[in-house]
Amino acid sequence: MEDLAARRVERKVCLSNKYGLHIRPASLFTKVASRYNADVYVEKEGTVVSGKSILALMTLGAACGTELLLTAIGEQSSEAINELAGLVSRKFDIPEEQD
Amino acid sequence: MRSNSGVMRVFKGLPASHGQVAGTVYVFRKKWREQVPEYDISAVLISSEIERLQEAFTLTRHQIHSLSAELCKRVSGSESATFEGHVMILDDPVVIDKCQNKIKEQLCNAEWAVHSVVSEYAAIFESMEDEYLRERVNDIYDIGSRLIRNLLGVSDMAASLVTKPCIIVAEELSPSETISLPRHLIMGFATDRGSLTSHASLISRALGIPAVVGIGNLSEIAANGDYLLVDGTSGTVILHPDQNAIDELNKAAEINKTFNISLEELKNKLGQTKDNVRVPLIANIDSGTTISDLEAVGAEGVGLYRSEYLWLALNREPTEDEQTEAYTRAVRALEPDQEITIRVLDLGGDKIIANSKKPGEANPFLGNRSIRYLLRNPDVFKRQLRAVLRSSVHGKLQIMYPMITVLEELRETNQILAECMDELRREGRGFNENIKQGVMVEVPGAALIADSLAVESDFFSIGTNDLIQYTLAVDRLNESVARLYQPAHPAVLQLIDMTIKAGHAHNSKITVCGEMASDPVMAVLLYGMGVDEFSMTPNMIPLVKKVFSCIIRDDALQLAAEVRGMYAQEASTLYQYCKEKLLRLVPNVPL
Repeated sequence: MEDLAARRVERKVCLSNKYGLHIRPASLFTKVASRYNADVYVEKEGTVVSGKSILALMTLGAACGTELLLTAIGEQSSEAINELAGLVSRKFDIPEEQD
Repeated sequence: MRSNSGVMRVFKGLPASHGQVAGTVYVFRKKWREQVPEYDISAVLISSEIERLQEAFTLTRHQIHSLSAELCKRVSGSESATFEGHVMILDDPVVIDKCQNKIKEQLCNAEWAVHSVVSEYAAIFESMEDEYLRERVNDIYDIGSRLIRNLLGVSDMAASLVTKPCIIVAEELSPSETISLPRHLIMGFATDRGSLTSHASLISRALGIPAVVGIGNLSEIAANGDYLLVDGTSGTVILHPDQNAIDELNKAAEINKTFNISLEELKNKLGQTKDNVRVPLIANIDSGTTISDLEAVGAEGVGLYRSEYLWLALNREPTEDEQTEAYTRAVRALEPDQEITIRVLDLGGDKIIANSKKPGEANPFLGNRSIRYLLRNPDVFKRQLRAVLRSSVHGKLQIMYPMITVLEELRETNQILAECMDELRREGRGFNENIKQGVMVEVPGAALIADSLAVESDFFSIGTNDLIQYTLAVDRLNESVARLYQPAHPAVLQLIDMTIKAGHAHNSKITVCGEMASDPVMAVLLYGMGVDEFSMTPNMIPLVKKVFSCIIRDDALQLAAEVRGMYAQEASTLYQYCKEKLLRLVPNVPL
């Protein structure tokens, strides 16, 4: 248990891209999350879904300005959270989502 | 052929894609939701039903891949990324698991299993508060209908039934429906639902097919073979038009056509007014913009090179050498007489660098961003300034400082620039000793002290987007206050006017590099106020160039003088006044 807790990383992020978590941002998030050896969860107002399921992420209905809690558990949890939080803060690097 | 017996009816919708077209209607009905067969299967058939389901998933994946490839060939944009998302949904184990469980638990056929799962997800999407996200339910329906069609062995209905040129009328079109229609036969689109940002609208714009969306109930009223006019520029659709309406449409189409041709003719000419006064039209670019993009629109230089994209692309600070290479590449890509303005790192606020581990700020737009960040991190700043200086031997390159608010910032910045020059001299590296440095005026405080800033800088570039946001205290992405984002607000215009006067008093050149530069109405007003050159997103250059070529300098000067006398009025009144005036001078411009 203790071991697992040590490998649990959480980070609050704010979704700032223009159109929220629709198919394209969700697909990029899923892709990154899937690269890491860690379980990734995304929570919005108490609803928790897998960060590796594109459809589950889309069902959150997270619009621009939503606070999300990212949680990763596993060997690469901190790497996963760092990259995912970066991706969200850079508005998924999608040009149309920037302004 | 042409059934035009009904009474003329005019519909108003949203202008989704420019252009006018007249033709016969083909009503594309989406009926799969009603037509999905439902039947029980016996337990022994479960495995074969699941196999059928898996085959349909595989086939659907292939189809979407080829649609995506097709779209890539036809449009350069990122729209094809949507289809990548569709493939990922098909690959999402949750989706196929749910369908398989339905088959196992409810002993239903695969079509019904897909239908139930899609309906469950659709219900979630349809209850979302955010309109844009709610509209994404179409991505789910799109995948669902394709899966069901494949299970039923029915081919792409839309694609196979359209055999002659027509205007597609539908309740709504999914992205894959839009793209799978035979392009050469589709004259236009008119749909009951949809918004300007729905995928179908984006795709029709990319393909250059006139489209009007959000019309209401056209698809219930129009029938196959009816005659229909679609004006994607005004957002009007006319069913059973009379001769008068047809003539009007043809006239509009003719104007549009000549206007587009004249844009093309101007491509290789320099920006100037009708009375031959030069108005340089230059481009805002980032490291991803190619030189052919600039040539295609006839840009005469670069007024804003957004260096932060180097940071964003690498997800770290680029080294001095990496920066030198990038800036050198950009300056060399231009003609020798063309200028490029490199804006130093404008990060912070909403674009925080992942690696810098800065604690979150309560108010990032009023926080440690841009020049403030650079002055607090002089090592980062020096590496960038050295790179800009080293690149300056390759062409006409100048430096721009964003977010300058107080005079000390400009002084400290110039001090650091001088130190970098000393270092380079000692190292024996070449750079342009007379490199120009300018201030990006985007904070009201900077506009108000423009006079003292002008003394210690060589040029001003007015960043109107931030200037408006900071002057009017409005975040234009916040829908509840977005209407207060008013470029023609008298406060904004007076700050700009003040900046121009202060700059010109010290022989500083004035550029505008915000979105106001690309709105012909505002550009003409600003030109009248004294702005020397306009920097904008490349694809807007032809339109603005055309507008300037149709006016004489005195028209603009007179407009500015009139507007200066109207500062007691509302912004919308000012804007409308400028727009009407411009339309009188350039009647055919599509504004």
